[in-house]
Amino acid sequence: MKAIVIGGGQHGLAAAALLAREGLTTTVLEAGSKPGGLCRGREFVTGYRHTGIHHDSDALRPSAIAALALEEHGLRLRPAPPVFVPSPEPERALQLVASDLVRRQEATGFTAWRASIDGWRQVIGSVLDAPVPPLGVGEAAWPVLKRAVELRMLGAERMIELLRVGVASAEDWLAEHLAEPHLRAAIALPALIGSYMGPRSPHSAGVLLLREALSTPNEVEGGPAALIDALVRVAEHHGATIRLGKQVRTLQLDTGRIKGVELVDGEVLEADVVVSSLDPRATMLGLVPPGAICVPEEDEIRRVRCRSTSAKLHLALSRLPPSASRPDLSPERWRVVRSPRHLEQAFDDQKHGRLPRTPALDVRVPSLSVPGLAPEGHHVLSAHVFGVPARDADAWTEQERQALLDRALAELEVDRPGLRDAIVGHELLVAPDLEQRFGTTGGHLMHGEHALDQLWVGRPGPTYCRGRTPITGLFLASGGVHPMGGVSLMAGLLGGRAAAESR
Amino acid sequence: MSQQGPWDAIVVGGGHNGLVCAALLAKAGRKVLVLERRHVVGGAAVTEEIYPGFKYTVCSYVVSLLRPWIWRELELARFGLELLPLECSFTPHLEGSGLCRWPDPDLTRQEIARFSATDAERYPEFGRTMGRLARFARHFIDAQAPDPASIWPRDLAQLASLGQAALELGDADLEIQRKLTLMSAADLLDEWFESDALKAPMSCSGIIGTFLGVRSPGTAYVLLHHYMGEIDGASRAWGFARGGNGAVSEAIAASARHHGVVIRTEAPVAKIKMSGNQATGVVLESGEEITARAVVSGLDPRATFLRLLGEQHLPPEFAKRIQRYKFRGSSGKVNLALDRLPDFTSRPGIGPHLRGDIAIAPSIDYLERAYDEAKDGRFSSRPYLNVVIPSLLDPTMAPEGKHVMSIFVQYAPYELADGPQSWPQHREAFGDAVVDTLAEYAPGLKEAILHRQVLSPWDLEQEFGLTEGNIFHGELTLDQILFQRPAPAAARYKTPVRGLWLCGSGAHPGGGVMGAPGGLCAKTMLQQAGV
Repeated sequence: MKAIVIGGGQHGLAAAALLAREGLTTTVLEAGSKPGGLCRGREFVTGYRHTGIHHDSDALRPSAIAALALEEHGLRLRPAPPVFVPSPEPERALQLVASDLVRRQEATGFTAWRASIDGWRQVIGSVLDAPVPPLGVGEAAWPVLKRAVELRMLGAERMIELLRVGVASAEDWLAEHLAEPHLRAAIALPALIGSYMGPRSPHSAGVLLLREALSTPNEVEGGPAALIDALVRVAEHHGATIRLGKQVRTLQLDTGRIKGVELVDGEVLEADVVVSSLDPRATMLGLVPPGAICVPEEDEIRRVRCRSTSAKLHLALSRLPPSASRPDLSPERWRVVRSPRHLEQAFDDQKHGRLPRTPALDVRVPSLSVPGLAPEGHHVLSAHVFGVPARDADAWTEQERQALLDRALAELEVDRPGLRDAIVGHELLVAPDLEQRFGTTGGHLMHGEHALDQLWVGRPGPTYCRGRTPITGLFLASGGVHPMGGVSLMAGLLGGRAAAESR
Repeated sequence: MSQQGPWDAIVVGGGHNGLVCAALLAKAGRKVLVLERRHVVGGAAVTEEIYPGFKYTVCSYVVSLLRPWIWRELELARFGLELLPLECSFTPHLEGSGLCRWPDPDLTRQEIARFSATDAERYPEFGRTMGRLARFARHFIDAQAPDPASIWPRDLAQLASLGQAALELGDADLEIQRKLTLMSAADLLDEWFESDALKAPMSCSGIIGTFLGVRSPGTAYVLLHHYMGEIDGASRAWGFARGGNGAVSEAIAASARHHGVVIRTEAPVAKIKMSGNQATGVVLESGEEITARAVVSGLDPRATFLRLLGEQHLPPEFAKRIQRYKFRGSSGKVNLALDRLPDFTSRPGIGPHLRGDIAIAPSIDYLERAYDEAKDGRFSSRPYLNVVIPSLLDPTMAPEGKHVMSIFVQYAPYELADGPQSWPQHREAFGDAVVDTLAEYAPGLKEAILHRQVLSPWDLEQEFGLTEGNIFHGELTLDQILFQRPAPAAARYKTPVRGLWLCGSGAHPGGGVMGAPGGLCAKTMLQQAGV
C-alpha cells in the first residue's frame, strides 16, 4: 500500500515514520528545500542560523519520544534552561527558579501554583494523548464516561477547581498566587502566543494551564531543528522517502476516495492513503478539489479561526550585551514584559490593527547552547513578538516593518543596552511572510488559534478532530487537529495512527 | 397574622428575589419577615419619582426572563403586574437609516436585507436554532445547579438527565451549544452573519452587566437569554412592566403580604447573629435583635458573608472563595426627564421604532473600543447604550406630553484609575459622555432634558448596596455560574453556615429580573426542611 505524507514538518515526519514502520510505502512531499517546516533551522543571515520558527521544545511528549524510539536515532534531551525575567528595576529581575523566587517572596505562591498544575497533569495528559473518543449513547459513551471518572478521581475539590481555572483569565488565576504583576505577565505570555487573547481574556488560564501541564523539565538538545534531524533519521530508517521541493497542487479523488496527488510541477503520484500535515484549512480548502466535500463539512473548516497576534524576529548579533539587571546571568530564555496591563494593551493594539505600543517578547538565544549557529563569539537571538496585528501583506510596508522592529528593539534594549549596535543582520517575519513561506493559513504558528472551543472535539471540528476526513483515505496530522499546536509531535502521531488503522 | 415573632425565616433585603423567596415560604405556611434597608422595597427593581411628576425606573428597566412558574405561583397578574411588550429593537446609525428589528419577521428581513441579503435569510434560522437551545438551557435555569462532584444518586440522576437532554439536541445543535458555551459573542455571530450593523446590536446581550467585551471568550452563551424570553411567551418574560420595574416588586410584595409576609422598610440589618455555627437571627443597625429559625440573605455573597457575617464564622477555604468572587461593576445608568421625544436622524419623527429598546451599538469595533477604554480605568468616551422610553409604553410614567428615558450605559468601570471613590468627581462628566453620545444620533436631545439622574457603579453600591456596582451580584462568567456560584459550598442556596441561606442573584442561576434564585432558594428550603 502506498502512503503519501504532505509536508515534512514535525507532524508530517512523525506520521511518515509511523506509516513506514507499519509497512506502507511512504513518501513525504516537502515543498521546501529542506524538511522541518516551522521547526526547520535556517540560515537567516549569512553565517547565522536559528533553530526553528518554534524555538522551544520542552512540550515534546515523552510518550511520543518513546513511540518513535527517537533516542535511538540521535535525539538527545537536556534540562530545559530556566526562564529569566528582566526588569528595569534590578531587584525585580528574576529567574523562574526556586532560589530567585524565595528572594522575591513569591516562592510560596509559585510553588502552590505549580503544585496545583502537577495535580492536574495526569488527567490533562490522558485527554491530550488519546484520540478524541466518539460521543454517543450506550456503549459509545464509555470512553467519555471513563474520562469523567478520571476527572472525578481527582477528588471533588481539585476537580471543581480545575473546572473553574479552565475558564478563568490567566491574570485572575495568576493573581491568586503571585503578587508581582511583572512576574504574572511573564508567565502568561507564552500562552497568549498562538491564541487570540490578552491576559484578561476569559479562558486564557485554560490555555496557559494546558501549556504548563504539557511542558516537561527537558528539551531537545539543539532545539526543534535537532528534533527534525532525528525524525528524518527515524522515517528513513523505516523506509520512508523524503522528496524535497515537491509542492502539492491538488488532491486527486475518485468518487469520494483518495487516488493520489498532483504536484505543482505537474507530476502525479498515486496513493491509497494521504496524510496532510498542512493546517486543516490549507488542506481541506486549498488541496481538496472544490465540491468534493459537502457544504456543512466545508463550513466547519471555514470557521476555524487562525488570527495571528505575533511575529517572529531573528537577530544576528556580533556580541551579546549583558543583562543590565542581572549581569551575573547569561540566560538562554527571557521574557521581556512590563505588566499584565501592558500585555493587555498590546493585545488591544493589534486587535484594532495598530502596532503595539509595547510589544512583549518571548526570547531565546540558541547560540548559547547550540554550537555552530553563529561565528565564534557571535550570537543568534530568536523572539516571538506579541501584539502584532494580522494585516494583509500590502499593509506591511518597509516603514511599518521598521517601526515594529524599532519598538521590539526598544523593549529588548531596556535590559540589554547596546543590543542595537551589535546587530549584524535581522529577519522579521510577520504573519503574511509566515503564510507565504510555510503555507500556514493566516501565518498561524499553531495551525489554528488555541481557544477552548477550538480544542478537543473542536479542533478543528467534530468531523475532523480524530484525524479522519469525509474523504476516504485522507487524514490530517497537524497542530490544527486535536490535541494542539506547538512542538509536541502528538497531532502527527494521532493522525498517522488514524491512517494506519484505516487499512 | 401576627406582626410579631417567632419567625421561621427572616429575609435580609427586600429586592425582587428576597420578596419571591419570602412569598413562596409564606405560601407554604411559614412565618416570614422581610427587612429592607431603604424606604421602598424592590432593591434594584424600583420606580421612584426622583423629579416631580416623572417616574424613573431607576436601575433595572426591563423584565428579563421572569420565570413563568413564579408568575403563576405568586399570581402576579392578580396582584397588579402587567407586562407591555417592547415592540422592536432599534439601532440608529450616524448615517443611513439604521436597523430596526420588528416582531414581524418579514419587516425584519427587509430591514436586514438593506445590509446583507444572506444575513436576512439566515436570521430566522438563527432564531429557530437559538429557540431550540434556549429550551435546553431552561433545564439549568429552572432547577438547582447540577453538582458534578456529588455522588448522591439524586445528583447523578440530574447529571444523567442533563446529559440525556444534551444528546437529544442532536449532533448539529449540540455542536452549536458547545460553541455558544465557549466562544465570544462576536466570533459566534461571525459564523452566522456578515453585516456589522446586525452583529453589533446582537452581540450586546453578551456583555450586559459583565466586565467583558464582545470579543471576550465566554460571552456567546448570553445570546440565548434573548431567545429564552420568547419561548416563555413573548408577553410574559420580556418586556416593560406597567409602572416600571417598581411595579414588579410591588406585585411580588403584594402577593407576599397576602400570604402573610411582614415587610419592614427602613430596617437596615447590621449583622447576622450566630450561636456556634448556627445563624439565629439578625441585629438591626438600631440595635434591635430579631431571632428566627433561618436567615435568608438576598444580598450579594460578599455583603452577606464578609459584611453581615464576618470571616471568623466561615471555613477558611470558603472565605477565600468569597473573597475571590469577582464583582467588577461595569455599567451605569442615566435617567432623563424629557420635555419632548428624541428625534433620531436615522428615522426622523415619532414612530414605532421608539417603542422598543434603542441600542447605540453601530459596530463590533465600537463596542470593543468602549471596553478597551474601561480596562484602563476610564468610562467609555463613546459607550454602548441601551435606551428605553417607558412613558411611550405607559403614559403614567410622566406628565402628559412629557417623557422619561432610561439609559443603561456600558462601560462604566467601578475601578476607575483614581479609585472607585473618585466617581463623585467624574459622575457628571460620565453623564455628559452619555448624553453627548446619544445626541450625536438624536440632535436636540440636550435641549429637551428637564432633569438628569446619573448613577455610576459607585452610586449603585452606595445607594442600592450592590457590591462594586455589579448589577448581577457578581460577574456572570463561566467560572462563576452553576455549581461555582458563588462557591461550590453555597451553590445550592444552603451555605456552610447552618440556618443561613442565599436567595439573591449571587446564587444560581444569577442576575436579571427573573426571580429564579429567590424561587429556587425557597423551594430548596422547603424540601430540605430548612424552615
